[in-house]
Amino acid sequence: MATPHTGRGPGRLLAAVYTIFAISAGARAIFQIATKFSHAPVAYMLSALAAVIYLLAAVCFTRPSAQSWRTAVIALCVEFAGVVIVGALSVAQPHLFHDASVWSNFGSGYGFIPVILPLIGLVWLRRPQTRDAFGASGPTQR
Amino acid sequence: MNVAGRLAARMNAIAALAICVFLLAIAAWATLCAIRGVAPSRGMLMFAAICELELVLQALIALLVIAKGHHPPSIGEYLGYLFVTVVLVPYGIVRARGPEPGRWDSAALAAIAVAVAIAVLRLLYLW
Repeated sequence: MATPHTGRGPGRLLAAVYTIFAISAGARAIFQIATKFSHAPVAYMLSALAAVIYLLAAVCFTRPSAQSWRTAVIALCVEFAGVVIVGALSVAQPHLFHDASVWSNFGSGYGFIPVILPLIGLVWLRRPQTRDAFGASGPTQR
Repeated sequence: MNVAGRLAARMNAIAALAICVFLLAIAAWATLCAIRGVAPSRGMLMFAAICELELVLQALIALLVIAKGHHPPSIGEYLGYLFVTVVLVPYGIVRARGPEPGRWDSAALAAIAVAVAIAVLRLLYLW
């Protein structure tokens, strides 16, 4: 039986989508911080943080190891918590954000993909095949 | 804005929409390949490379007009999206030419084409 590895499965699409988000959120945040940081520092720093998390997840997806698997799970949990908390705050306390961040309004500026993406990622990471591919099989798989 | 300026803005919009149609055609083609379970074909990658040339040309013209004094309202966001439109397609091409390309590289190329098409529309809106 061929050894499964993340190099060929849906993980490749997931890694690509995370890279797209890392580049989009990162480029936007860098240029906004460079041109008008004082206008909305919280929103721009949040976008930059989101970009770093997307990049971290994308790197983990392309380098399968048990450590990568754990880091990816933590990154995606932080990402999901971030989208929910920032989304809720941007609706309840809009005065905190003078400009939109990637996670504002649960990612409505990006077609709500930011709130769906970590859930898809976590479901994929928890699949037994994915765990095996990362060498991170849980006690139930042994 | 004078007549020449309005004409230039309209040409700009037509060019951007043409690039979007081109990108969506690539996305549809790549999605079909993903469904059929095959890697992006050579022809599709050539198509993507031509599209990248158009994107680079668009970015150069935009930078030239900005350098000449045009100022989009949110210049930071504009430049961010401009960067995105130029770098993503080469990333998709490089991925698809890596070792053992498969159906998921076709799916990734489709996702990239859609993302760039959205970024091009945003550029039009932010101009």
